[in-house]
Amino acid sequence: MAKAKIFISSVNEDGLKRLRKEAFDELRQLGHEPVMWEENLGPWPAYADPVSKCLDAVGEADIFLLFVGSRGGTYYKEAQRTVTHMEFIQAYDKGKTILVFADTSVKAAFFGTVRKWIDDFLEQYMTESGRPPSTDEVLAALRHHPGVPSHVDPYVWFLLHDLSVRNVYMDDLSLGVRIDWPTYFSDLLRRGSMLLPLRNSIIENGRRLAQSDEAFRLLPELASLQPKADGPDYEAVLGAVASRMTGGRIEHRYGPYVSETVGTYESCIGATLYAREGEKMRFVAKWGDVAWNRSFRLDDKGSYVALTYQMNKDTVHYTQSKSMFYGCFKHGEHVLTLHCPAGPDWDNRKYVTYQESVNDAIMNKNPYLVFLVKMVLGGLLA
Amino acid sequence: MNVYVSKNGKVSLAVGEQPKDALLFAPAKKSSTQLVQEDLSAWKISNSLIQERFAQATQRQ
Repeated sequence: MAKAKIFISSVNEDGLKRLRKEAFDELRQLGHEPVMWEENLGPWPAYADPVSKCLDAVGEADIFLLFVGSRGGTYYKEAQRTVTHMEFIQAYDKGKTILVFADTSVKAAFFGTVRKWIDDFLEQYMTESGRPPSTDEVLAALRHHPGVPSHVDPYVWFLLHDLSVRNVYMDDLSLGVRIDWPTYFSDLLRRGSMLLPLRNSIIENGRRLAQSDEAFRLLPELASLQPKADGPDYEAVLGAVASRMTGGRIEHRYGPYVSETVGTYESCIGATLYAREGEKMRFVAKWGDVAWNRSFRLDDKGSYVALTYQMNKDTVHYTQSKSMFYGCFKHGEHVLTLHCPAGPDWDNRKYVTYQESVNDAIMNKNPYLVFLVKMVLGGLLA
Repeated sequence: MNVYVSKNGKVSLAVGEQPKDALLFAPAKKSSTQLVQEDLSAWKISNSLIQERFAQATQRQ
């Protein structure tokens, strides 16, 4: 079973050495997999770039644990950041769980005065220079400001400011006081356990977002269609819709738990639009190489267009001889049909067995798209 | 759900073997409009659940 990999980060300063070692030992005893430079990460092999090695290890970790004291650490001029800060940026960018413990007195000074001073400095600098200051300029200003505690490395303020701008919570760190890791990680487990059951809700919402996004993106395409001399360009509308109805799997569900792929259908190859006129369904437009009639009588029992209108229900029809599914959608006085070839192995017997799955696959492919098209066609034909 | 067949100008329940050129269909239980309404409703409920749960999980005690 995988263990929680916890990267322990901090400046290598005297006050934090014991704390880091205690955290490493205790987290390992608790069954986790702590990673720390001086214990199990560096400095071997000799040819490896130590900074890259640390950043890679952060990328592989599940949790990033950062201790902040009064020292800033090794500053890389080219990056304008310390190694510790770069590790934090890596963890933040990779979406890791970030746990920060900051020295209580440093934290109090930061939130009491220094944070506001940095905010004011940045704003004033932008106003006067039209650009943000470099890191070196911020550090120099902090170093020379009499109101900023001088026993703390200016880079610490710069780091804490970055943490606060990114809304990263900082726990209190009292040097000499042991952190109750079992309780801390139990609370973390409790919080994580509250979120894990949301998995299906989040996945479902992602699906809904993708479907509605696809429908939304159709709008500007439809709006940009130029009308023909004799009215709206229905063929182009049908084409815009039909080309989005891609093929897919037809799945049979066994209750809410298990589903099985029982067949497939191919992408839409054509579409037609009919409108009721008296006792007939009159042909309005088609897209693709599909058969069409000038009109169907409303009582024509052999026409899926007339049948859909009379039933007043969206319906998928199937014919074995043509190996085709016809998705038929009724809106007001209109019937839209989308023609999707059935995958191999479909026949009448199989359709009768899995008709509900066929309906689900084709009707539910993207209900937002169909809904939007119905509205648009309804508006154009009104 | 019942499956219907349209053949020889008549619609009837599809029972037994059907000719290859028969038109088979089973009306969907829900229209696309109903599907969208239900989906939007489920979306809102789901979002509320996610927001509530995240608020609880990230609350500092």
